[in-house]
Amino acid sequence: MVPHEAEVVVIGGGVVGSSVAYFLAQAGKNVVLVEKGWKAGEASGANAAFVWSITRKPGIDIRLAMHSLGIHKQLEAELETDFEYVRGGGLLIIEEETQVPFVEAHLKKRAEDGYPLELIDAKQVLELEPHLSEERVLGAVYSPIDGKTNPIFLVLALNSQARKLGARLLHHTEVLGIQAAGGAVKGVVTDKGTIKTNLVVDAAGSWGSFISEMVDVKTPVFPFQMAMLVTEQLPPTVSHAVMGASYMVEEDAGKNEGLGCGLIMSQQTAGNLLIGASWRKAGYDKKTIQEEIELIARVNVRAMPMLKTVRLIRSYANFFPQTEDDLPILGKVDGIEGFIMACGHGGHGVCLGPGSGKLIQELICDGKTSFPIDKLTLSRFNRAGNP
Amino acid sequence: MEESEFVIVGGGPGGVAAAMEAAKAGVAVTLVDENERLGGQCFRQFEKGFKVADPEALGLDYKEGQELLHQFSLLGDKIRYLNKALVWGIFNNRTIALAHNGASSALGFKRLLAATGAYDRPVPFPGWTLPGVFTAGGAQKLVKSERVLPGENILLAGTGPLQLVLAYQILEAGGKIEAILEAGNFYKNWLRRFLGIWGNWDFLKEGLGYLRSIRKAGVPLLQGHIICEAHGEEQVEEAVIAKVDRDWRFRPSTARTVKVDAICLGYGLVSSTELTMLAGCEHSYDLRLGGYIPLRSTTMETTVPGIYAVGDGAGVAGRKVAIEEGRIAGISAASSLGYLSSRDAGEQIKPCLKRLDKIGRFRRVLDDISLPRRGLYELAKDDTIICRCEEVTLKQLKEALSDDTLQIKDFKRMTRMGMGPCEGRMCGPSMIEMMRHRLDASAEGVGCLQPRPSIKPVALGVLAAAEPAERKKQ
Repeated sequence: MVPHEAEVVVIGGGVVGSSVAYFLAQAGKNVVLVEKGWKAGEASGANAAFVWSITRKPGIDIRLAMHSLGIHKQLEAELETDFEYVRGGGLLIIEEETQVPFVEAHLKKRAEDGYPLELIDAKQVLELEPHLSEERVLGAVYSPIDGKTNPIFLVLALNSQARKLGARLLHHTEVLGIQAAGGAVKGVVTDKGTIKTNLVVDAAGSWGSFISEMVDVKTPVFPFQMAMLVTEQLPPTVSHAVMGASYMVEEDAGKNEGLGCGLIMSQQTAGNLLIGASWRKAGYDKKTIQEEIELIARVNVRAMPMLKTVRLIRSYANFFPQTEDDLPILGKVDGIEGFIMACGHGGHGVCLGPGSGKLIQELICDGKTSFPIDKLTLSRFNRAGNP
Repeated sequence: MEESEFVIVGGGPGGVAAAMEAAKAGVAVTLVDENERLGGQCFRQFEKGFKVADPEALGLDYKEGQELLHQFSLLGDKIRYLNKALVWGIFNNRTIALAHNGASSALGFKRLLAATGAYDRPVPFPGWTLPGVFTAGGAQKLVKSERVLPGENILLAGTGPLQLVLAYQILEAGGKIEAILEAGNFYKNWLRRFLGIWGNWDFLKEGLGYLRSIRKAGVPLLQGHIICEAHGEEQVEEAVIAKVDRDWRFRPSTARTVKVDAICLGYGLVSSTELTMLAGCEHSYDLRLGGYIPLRSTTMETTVPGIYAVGDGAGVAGRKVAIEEGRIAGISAASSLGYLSSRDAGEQIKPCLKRLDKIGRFRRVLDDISLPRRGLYELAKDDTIICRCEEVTLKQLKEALSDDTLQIKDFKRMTRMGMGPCEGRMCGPSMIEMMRHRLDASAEGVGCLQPRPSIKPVALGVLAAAEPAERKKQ
């Protein structure tokens, strides 16, 4: 059975929801986390495992990312179990001449905003990642503060610490409805009983819109599928979080309808390489298809020829909770008291989750956040769902 | 993309029998097999270059296999046979993904048969990961197709009649066996209960034949015994064996040490269900039949229309059952594709069902005797590795257990158990049994590891070398 009441009910057990619950428990709140499935069972358990800032845009985007990078560091010190966070540096590899103007424009805007980035030449890139193909590297954007983590271990570490601090975590428990009266949240109805509460945090990722609909709020979050491959364990081979600059080129970055793929590489502490990544509009389908598995292999073997003989052991796909402006939806919602959103993190939930969790905790406990997040509230969207 | 009306995955007895029936009816059949030569584990043929001087020495199943394979070769032009072709996925239940000749490709089908066989049931105990500890299947492969003995003084431990077959093969190859440990009670239950089963003289004759050779060689067959531990520095040097109670819990007072340099473990088989699971076929848990097995109709069709499953991969039952089931699936597939009227198909299936029924009666006795009991899953100690790929120990799993973890999927997340190249084939079955017993939870409650493509490891270079024509870039 579920607890009868709670100060806050967090819906969603991924990196975002688990971070919110952890920080609330740490602040002494009586918090219950409700998750319909497994621990880190959706996008939080199936992504590139990057903690990454290079491609974040100037403005609120890079501020949120920088804030969250700091929170990752803080968690590394605070949480009792290790989650394999390594700031090994990030590389955005320029593979084609056509990518150069896009990268240069990004660097310029970031420098103007006070978050400059470093451009390095091909020789320097190959010193950092010697297995990359000389033929495919024109240069790269380098960031020493970027890196990788183990998102599943991060969620588990957040969950077990939150539980020690008194949070109650209900997995395999589905939210069926949200009770509201007089424009305010009154409770959460689950398949295992009802929890009385005045505060609900919607951290349901790609299902965030289904949760908000329970209080008649439309949320412009749509699922966007990304697939990746897992290789057998290797000795240290890739030390950076590696991304291809094709992600900076608008038309390549998944806006087209078909199957696309851009270079993604990182090596987990256990030794497996996570390589990717392909995207396609596949609704809520989590299956990988043969075409995309072969395409990912092709893109990565081309970038790193030694991968030819490395064996694939598994593939995975999940869908990111995408918004039109690629920014999450954080904060209170007009017209419904006690309903707070923390979803729509797109492909950046792992990176931005801990930072978002801390901000939401501050909003709930202090009424204000360590930096303004009004640009991230749901009210930025018009009725058509466009910012 | 290439297409074939009826694609059969697995060239063991079941797959071969299905291919023959379907081809005879006129179906365009493609038989895909991972090995270099047909026959599967049961009818394993020699590596090229070996000549069989005395087929008798290889056991009766070898002769039977030769006959079936001979018949298959007569249909050669009607069946497309791809050897050394690894099936690494199934997509949309309309195509399978193949790794063949160094490149990945897609093969479409109208009907699919999974005849994927089984592998040795892993049983973790202290020392089971030492070099020199073999699975019975691995040892059999060595002896049968490579003519190599696993060691100089060999201990066989496990249950069921397959152990006798292996012992016979080792002896015929000139090997020395220290002892055969049978966890169950052969003479008491086995032979006595066989007397009540009419019409299975073939089986009985075969079994008795093996027993005779073993006795002649002076190899002790110790019933009600198991191996508890294996010791050794670099590799196996000795084994601790003991008597067991009816739950196969060993009695410490009976433990003794024997000097051996090889151990072959034959605790029955586990069905290979990666393909049917990936296809989304419904499965149910039956320990007697090898763990999770696909649900099937009497025509061997799974719950996914057009996908059939036969043989050990659909419930461990041995080659004779595999052949009959294969025939039924071949005939049914041919009928559903319009090559046979349903009346003709029914007529052809009837004798197969009759033979299956006869074998079935015999099997139930065997199953009861060789069903793994819970004591077997209590042998592991805290530092015993359960997941070999990720080197996860029992202690780590116990710690995860205390953190409100009850399902295999959560164990995987917490400990990385089942995340290695074998995708949980080795640790999954033991984990299910350990959880079932330790928590008195049902296997369904524990869940299982869902396979994801690739269901077997494939080199990225092979995937990258996929025919560019397969790419439908929009």
